[in-house]
Amino acid sequence: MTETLASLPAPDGKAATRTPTITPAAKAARRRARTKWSDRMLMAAIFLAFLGAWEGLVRLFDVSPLMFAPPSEVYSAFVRGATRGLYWEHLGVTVFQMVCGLMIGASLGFGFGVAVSEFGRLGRLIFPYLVAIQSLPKVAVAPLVILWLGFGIESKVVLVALITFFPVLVNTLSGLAIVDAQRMDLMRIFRASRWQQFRFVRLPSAAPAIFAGLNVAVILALTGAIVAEFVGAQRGLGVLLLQAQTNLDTAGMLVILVMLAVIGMCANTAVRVIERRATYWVVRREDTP
Amino acid sequence: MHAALAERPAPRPGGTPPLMRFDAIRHDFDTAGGSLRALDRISLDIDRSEFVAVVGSSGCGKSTLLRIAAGLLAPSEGRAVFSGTPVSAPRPEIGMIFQDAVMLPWFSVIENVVLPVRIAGGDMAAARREAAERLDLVGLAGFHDAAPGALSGGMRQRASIVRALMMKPRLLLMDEPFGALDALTRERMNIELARIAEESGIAVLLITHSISEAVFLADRVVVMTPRPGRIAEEIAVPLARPRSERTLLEPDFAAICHRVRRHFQSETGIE
Repeated sequence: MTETLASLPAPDGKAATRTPTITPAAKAARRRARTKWSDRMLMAAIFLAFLGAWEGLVRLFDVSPLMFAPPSEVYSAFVRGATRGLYWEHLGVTVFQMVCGLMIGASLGFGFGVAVSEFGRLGRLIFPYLVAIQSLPKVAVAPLVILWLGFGIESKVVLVALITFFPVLVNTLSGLAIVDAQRMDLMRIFRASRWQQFRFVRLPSAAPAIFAGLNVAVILALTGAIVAEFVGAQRGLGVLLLQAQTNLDTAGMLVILVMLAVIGMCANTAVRVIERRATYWVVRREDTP
Repeated sequence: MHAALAERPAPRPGGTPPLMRFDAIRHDFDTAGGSLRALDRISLDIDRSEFVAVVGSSGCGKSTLLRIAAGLLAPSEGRAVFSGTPVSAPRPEIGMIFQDAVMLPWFSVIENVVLPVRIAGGDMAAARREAAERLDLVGLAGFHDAAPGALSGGMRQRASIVRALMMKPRLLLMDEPFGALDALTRERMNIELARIAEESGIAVLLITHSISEAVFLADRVVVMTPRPGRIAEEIAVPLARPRSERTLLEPDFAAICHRVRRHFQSETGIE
């Protein structure tokens, strides 16, 4: 019997075993490596061209330093600030507020999402309030939160949590709303408890949607932290940005903006890496950026 | 066909209940256009270790019957009785195989196979050993830790049969298990299923559109008519066991296939 089975066509391995020298898989891997390398070169070239154009245009049109600064000026402003030790504390505060707020907001959003979808009655009772709060622009609450919690870190963490709560909540809800009838039948056949159904089928099915919410939340977290700092704070990159504006230090403002862009990119990448690991079974297009 | 209804087997001597009995089952679905009768007056017994195949065209309520047998659906009228007790919910003695293997993509093949034991809170170490052995037996050695998506349809379906066997069922319900496979793989799977059923002594209720598959595998073929699903005829298949490729060449095999096929030729627009 095992013999008949062994002689079954192995749909995947067949082509590879027939050509012992260079397998198609190895060829494809090499081709991928090549494109990856040439992509990197191209990216570096585009970046340099971008910097060159920025520098050249600012100098060519002799733009007032009050309005804009070329990259060389931005860089020297950064070096001046860095040697004075100006940035690190503020950077740390903003990143801390963002990460803390995101973790609290995302956890609550996920928790409420699960509660609302699992306990239908609770959901119906609290849903109108969630909708009401969601349609409110969260930054408009900032003055009130700062009034309650002061100019310190706490008020910013609360605001970031409030802002990141909703995208995660909404996506958790829509992810858990999708039910694969066959998988649920399978769970019923195995007599899985409600918790087991949730853990083995519904949560993994919802995971891609939940991560989509987290991807939105991470960008909102940075926005939330900065705007909250604008409204009232003692430390943070938002404070530094306002100070630079008051001092008519345009190059200094651009330094902060570049920093924010870098923070945003790092945070976004971190979430994507976690997403890929957590939802390893999801088939993605190979060239997804 | 109505004569066949009257020929229902008499209650067996000694009064031991059959493994599975469908007792005058009727089922209606509520649809936008009113009530739709899917099954009507279905009475059928399955004995221990018996292999029963139900053939019928699409929409004859075969899958509904299977869901009722599995305890996934309560019939509008009548009842399914397993070994003397009415089936009101899924039970471990009744396993089910779906048309798609329904492997969870976030688990490896072996994790999928041991999932029922994990859910039931059984001995996982023993389950893993057993699963590994059985997977090797059905030609999935080397694929234990593969993602289900990396397997072909036939391999996935074999893994899902192994998964159903993990609960040591006494009755296996199979809903078009090989419908999505190519003809060659399907034939091999049939031979393999015949062997599993013969060796394990598990009773099987197989739903299929394939007449030759039904006759090859079953001890008894039940022909159903569509809308509402009714039993047109029960045909005994006295072909020798074990069944193998040679069974397909027997004149009786062809004769029984022909007898089943006549039902579909008399209907319009089917097969």
